[in-house]
Amino acid sequence: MNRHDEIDLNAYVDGELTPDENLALLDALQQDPELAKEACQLNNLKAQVQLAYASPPGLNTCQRPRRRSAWTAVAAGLLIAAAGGAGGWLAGSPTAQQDRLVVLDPDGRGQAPAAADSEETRIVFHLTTPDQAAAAELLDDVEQMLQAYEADGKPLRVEIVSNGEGLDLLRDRLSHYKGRIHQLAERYQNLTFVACKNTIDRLKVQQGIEVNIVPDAEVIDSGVDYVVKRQQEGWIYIRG
Amino acid sequence: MRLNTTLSRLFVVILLALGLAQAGTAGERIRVVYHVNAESARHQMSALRSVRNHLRAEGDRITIRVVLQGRGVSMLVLPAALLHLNGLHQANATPQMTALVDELSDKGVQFEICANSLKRHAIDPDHDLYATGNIVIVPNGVAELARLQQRGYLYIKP
Repeated sequence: MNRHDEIDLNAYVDGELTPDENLALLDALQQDPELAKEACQLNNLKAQVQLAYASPPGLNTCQRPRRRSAWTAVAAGLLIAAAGGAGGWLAGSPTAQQDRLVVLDPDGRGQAPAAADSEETRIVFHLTTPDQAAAAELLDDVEQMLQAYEADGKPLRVEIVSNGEGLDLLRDRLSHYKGRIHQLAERYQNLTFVACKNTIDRLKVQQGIEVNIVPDAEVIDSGVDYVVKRQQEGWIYIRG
Repeated sequence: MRLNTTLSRLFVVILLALGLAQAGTAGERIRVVYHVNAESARHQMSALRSVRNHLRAEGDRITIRVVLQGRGVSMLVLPAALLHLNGLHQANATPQMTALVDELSDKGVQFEICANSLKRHAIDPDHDLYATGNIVIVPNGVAELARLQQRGYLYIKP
């Protein structure tokens, strides 16, 4: 990638190009997979940088009360002491090492992340790669969380946002998991699938493809902007 | 006498743990969780190198956890297990990878493996995983990523 492309690419990602320049660059992206990949990475980087500056640590409203830390410490202390006793004073014997592998995180209490009971846990998943099998694995874990929260009577909201190549999962003709998505969306009112209109428009301009989105998904303007806003609102962010 | 020694050691350990936890609440510590769900050794090595650089940059002020979820669990799967794995095509616990894992473990990085992913890919945690260092199994990798972020961990997906 030459310097000129790099400048263009940054401008493109930041939405600073004129419509004509945009078209020219889209054309270049289509010709050059390396360049397209670079654009995708820049886009993701932009999202992450925005996030890093938008939500500094410590302002996270979902943080657990501080008083837990004393109990965590006691638990950790006891756990270390127990491991020390059993394994021979932290000598790192093979038994002790084997033990560590099956010990759960001391305060990892299974499925539901700890939060005050009244507090709603809100998670936005961001899918940007065409790997639908990986997305399906993610859906398994998400479903388990939805079940666990429901069983515990804890409020949870989940949004799955797909843009770029991640959109395939929500494209009517390309999705391998239409049934699964429908079944999950029907079953859980607190789960929303979200498709990026920018990507849909780009596919139309670039490749002349009229994209149909699965009926269970909502369409929003920009996937990247959307996940950034969600994080500014205090949502937890996980990328697929 | 032996009991006495054990008790005093236990006491020291608890004090240490309390001290560490105290430092954690002082607000100066940076806590970061790295999410790895890519199957390829190349991607995983590069993620671990990022962790190493991050440690170098922040020194003692940082706590890092690495959550292996989805096919990212392949990082710690022994190559001998490849024969019976389900849907996983790479087992990346080669000497090169485990050396890096050990190095980071020794510096306090905690590795967490998703039990759902192990089950899905027919990985036996007792026999198929590289079993050393600072490694724990968590029931649900995605839930763990959410839980850590709720506790103030910053999320990085290399």
